[in-house]
Parts: sequence; C-alpha cells; structure tokens
Amino acid sequence: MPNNNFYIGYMEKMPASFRKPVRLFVLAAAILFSIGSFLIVRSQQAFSTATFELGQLTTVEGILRMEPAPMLQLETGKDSKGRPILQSILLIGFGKHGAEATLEKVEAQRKLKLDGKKLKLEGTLIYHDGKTLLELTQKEKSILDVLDVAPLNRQLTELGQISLRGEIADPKCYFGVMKPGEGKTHRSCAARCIAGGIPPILKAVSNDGQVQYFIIEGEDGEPINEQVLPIVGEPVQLTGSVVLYDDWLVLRLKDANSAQRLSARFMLEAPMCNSGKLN
Amino acid sequence: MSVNYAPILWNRQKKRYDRIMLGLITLYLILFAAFQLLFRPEISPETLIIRATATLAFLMLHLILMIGPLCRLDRRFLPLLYNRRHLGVTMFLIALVHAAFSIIQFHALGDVNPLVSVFTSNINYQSISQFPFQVLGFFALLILFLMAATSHDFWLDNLSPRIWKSLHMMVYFAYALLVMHVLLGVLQQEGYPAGFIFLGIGMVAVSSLHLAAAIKGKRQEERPEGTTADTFVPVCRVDEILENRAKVVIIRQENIAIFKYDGKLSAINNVCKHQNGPLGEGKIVDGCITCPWHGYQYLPENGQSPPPFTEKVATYDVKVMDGKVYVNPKPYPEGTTRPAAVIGV
Repeated sequence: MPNNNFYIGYMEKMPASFRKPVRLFVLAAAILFSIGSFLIVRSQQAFSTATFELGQLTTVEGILRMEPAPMLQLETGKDSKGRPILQSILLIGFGKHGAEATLEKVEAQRKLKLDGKKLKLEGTLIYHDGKTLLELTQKEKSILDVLDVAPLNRQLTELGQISLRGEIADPKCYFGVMKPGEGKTHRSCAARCIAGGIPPILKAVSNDGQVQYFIIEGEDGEPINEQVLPIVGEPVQLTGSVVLYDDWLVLRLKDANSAQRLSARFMLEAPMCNSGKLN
Repeated sequence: MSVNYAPILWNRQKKRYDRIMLGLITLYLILFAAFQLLFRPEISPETLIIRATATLAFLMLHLILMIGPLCRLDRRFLPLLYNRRHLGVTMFLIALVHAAFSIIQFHALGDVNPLVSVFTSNINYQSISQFPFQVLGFFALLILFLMAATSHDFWLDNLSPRIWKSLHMMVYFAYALLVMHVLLGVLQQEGYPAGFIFLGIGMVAVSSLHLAAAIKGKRQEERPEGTTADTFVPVCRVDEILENRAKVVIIRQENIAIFKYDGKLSAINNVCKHQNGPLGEGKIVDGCITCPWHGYQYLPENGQSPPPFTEKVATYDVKVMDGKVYVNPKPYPEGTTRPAAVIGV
C-alpha cells in the first residue's frame, strides 16, 4: 500500500485506494440483506389461517352457559331428525383475561344471574378450524342486552377415560390472535392468558393428522389454570375423562401433576394415543 | 477529536455513512415485508414487525462485529470503523423495537407487570431445552443499551478508557446471549435446518475473522530480547521504517511504537488513550502521530496531545548506531519529553 494512504474519520474524502474494499463491503451487505431476507422468510414454517377480526365488532345473540367455560350457545339449524344443531362460541375477556370477570361485573351491576339467559353481545370474532370465539372487547359494554328465554337443552356425552398427547395452549391466541399461537416462542403468552383466566385447551393431533381440541378442567369441572401453567406450550401426555358439551370436548384431569412431559420427537412418532372413542 | 462535546460532529463521510446505512436498513425491511406478503401472507402484522426487526438487528450485529477484525487485516476498511458507533446505536434501536413489540405482544394486558412476566411466565430455568429464551434476549438488550447510552466520547472521558472499553467489550457476551436466544427460541420452535445453517455461518464468519486478525497481529509483533533491564535493545535497521510511519515492538510487556519523521526517531507507547487504538499503525500528520482508529493525535517527542487536548502516553529513549535503531523499554511517565534520536548522527 502506498505510504501516503492514510484515513482519518474527520477527513472529507477517503483515499482512492480505500474505496474498493469499502464498496465491496457495502455491496456484500446489500447482497446479504437481499438474499438473507428471502431465505429467512422462505424457511419459516407456514402460519395458520386463523382469523382475529381486529377492529371489527360483531353482534351475536345466544344463551350464556358458564359450564365448562363461558360460552354463548346458538342454535344454527336442525338435523335430519329435527334435533337442534348447536354451536357454542367460547367467550374471552379483553387482553389476556377470561370472560368471567367481565360477566361477574355485569351481574353485580344488573343484580341478576346471567347463566342461562339470552345475551346480545358485541365483540371481536376469533375463528379457526371449526371453532369460534368472541372477545368481549369493550368489557362490560360488550353486553348489549339480557333477555329471559326458555333455555336450550345441553347435549352432554360421556366418552370415558382417555390418554391424549398434544400441547396445552390458550384458545384466544391459538384460534387467531397470534401467529404462531403455540409452541415455545408463544409459551410465555399462553401462560399469561391462562393465568389470566382464559380456559386452557389441549391441541391433540391424531395419527392421521386430524386435530382435536379439548378444554381442560379439573375432575369436578373446576378450573385448573394455575396447575397446568408449568406444562403450557410443550409436548405432554394427559389422561382424564372426556365429556362432549354440545360441540366442545372437555378433558377432566384428576391431577394436573400427573401430566407426562414428552420430547417433540415422541410427539411426531405417536401424536395421539387411545383416542378411538373420539372417532 | 474535539475539545467541546457535541452530539455528533458531522462531516461529509459521516453523512454518506449514515445514508448508506439507512438505505440498507430500508432495503432489508422492504424486502422482508414484500417476501413475507408474497410467500407467507397469513402472518400477523405484529409477528412481521417482531421477526423483521429481530433478523435485521442480528444481521447488523454480525457486520458490526466483523468490522473490527477486517480493519486489522486490511486498513483500507478503516472508513467502516470510524462511524461504527452510529451502526451500533441504530442496531440497538432496531433491537429495542423487536423487544418492545415482543413484550407488548406476549406479556402486556395480563395479570402481572409485563417486565415481571418476562422472568416468570416460563420458569424452566433448570432445563436447557425448555430454558426461557426471552430472558437471554432481555439481558443482551440491556448490554446493548448500556453500550448505546455510553457510546459518546463524553462517557469515554468520564468513565475512563479502561472501564469504557471493558463495558464495550461486553458486546461479545451480548452476542453469545443472542445466539442462545435465537437457538432456544425461534430455531427450536421452527426446527428448520436452514436456520441452524445461517446461524452457523454467521458464528463461523465472526469467529474466523477475529482469529485471523489475532494471528496476523501476533505475526507482526516483534519481541526482541533485551539483555538486562534499563538497556537499549536493537529493533531494526533505520531504512525498515517508512517516513512518517512506525515500527511496533513489544519488549518486556512494553508495547512501543517507534516513529520516523523529519530525519529523526521518537518512541511512544503504542496504545491510544481514546479507545486503545494501535498508534503504531497510524501516521504522522501535521507533525502529530495520528491514531488510525479515530484520529486522536500525540506529539512524537513528548507523547502529549497538542493543546488544548490533554491525552498523554508514555515515552521511551531511542538511539541510532551504525544504521540500526535501538530502544530502551523503560517507560517514562506519560507526557515526558525525550529528545528524538537524529538519524545519521
């Protein structure tokens, strides 16, 4: 290098011989950024097609059911035998909270019990894979009207003791608010949502790739949100009795501590076990 | 080099540097969003922001870490080093956007303070595979914040160069934390081999450049042996030193730069008081030894920065006999005037 080539940052111009390597570095950075952005985007796993209608409020009417979790029960038609076809919309609070607190405040304000009443609700819809949720976005103001009506019958079916492999997630994020709404990167959020009262769900995948969702509760139908927090967002095997509430499956656990942690590899090899009764 | 503190001393080079930096950042963000909408349109806007800023900041950190050793390997990369702090502060701000969106997304509107939630929502601290990776990112961001906040020379003077340099060397610890943050976070979740390959290439590039620079530095070090303390040690022939340049030697742990100028030789300590830059790789400009890293200057005969600046380095005795240069490695107190050795006398 010539002896007169020397660069100090406060010089207005760099020596001519310095330009080539500096330009090469800038060009390499531009290529790295261009190719890097492409490869990083392409190598991501696909995101789910779940929907959260952010900013769009929808009005829904139905019968409020507080078991197994706050839900709005809707009759969507009749089957060939004339029996009502029921759909249950899981109700979720604003932020990382369950709907109970909001409903209890409204009960206190109106001095009445809401369970079994017909409610007119306004909230944000969340839906994916045949399941629908409604976020009570405007908190107490989300309950527009309360009406006394003859309650619809519940369709309960006991399905017995079952062992299931899958991942515990929070339904609000999984069914649309976040992408991805499961796995390790989402674990903290799922734990926060479940700790805030949103019912935990188990996402179980059968050997043929069919996904089923189970609301998790205690043996007597009590919430066990706190107990499942240590195993949220990781592969687990849970054993309990399954009950079908209308169109939602519920897994009742005798003891959340009996959950078995699984490796991700084990999950891939045998995703769901002993699930025959569900098919 | 400036007597008064100013937020930024702008010049043409700095403006060009920042324009190119902002251009590349804009290019990345536009391409990332475009590719995302093209190939993965189902992504939510929050996840898009979180992933775009995370990957951009991490790529920028790799480039920042490569600039130092590149300059040691070839001084023609020095224009990249001079304004590196702008690159570092910008990288921190991008990482901050990533962290802020992640904390709001994953921890806000819950039953506890979002910052408390970062540490308590996943408590598998005893497990390697299930370790709460967000905590690693949090501490890395804290280090990057301390570095960005103290990047101005005001802090260099007030903290002392030794503490300031130690603080800024923590970038390597932050890098290690971020590698684990990525490994135990998104790579574990996504499980794609390409991600592990990208990360591996980045780590190899950073570490191999540092290794190559260290090997080159070691090879350039000359360590002539002195017989006893306080004696002159032969270094080289006079004609081996270029005019206005230096020969660097390490004798009994003393890092000495011997400069040749105006038919004379003077020796000063090789380590710049600003950021430990290698003065011996600098040049005499306008009668002053000028550090190649940030242009700090010292007078060759007394190791003092010209008034009104106050930096001082140690000086050494030099002599010339039969065309050979000798230096006495016993240092004089910083800023002590020592007569230059006149060549040919």
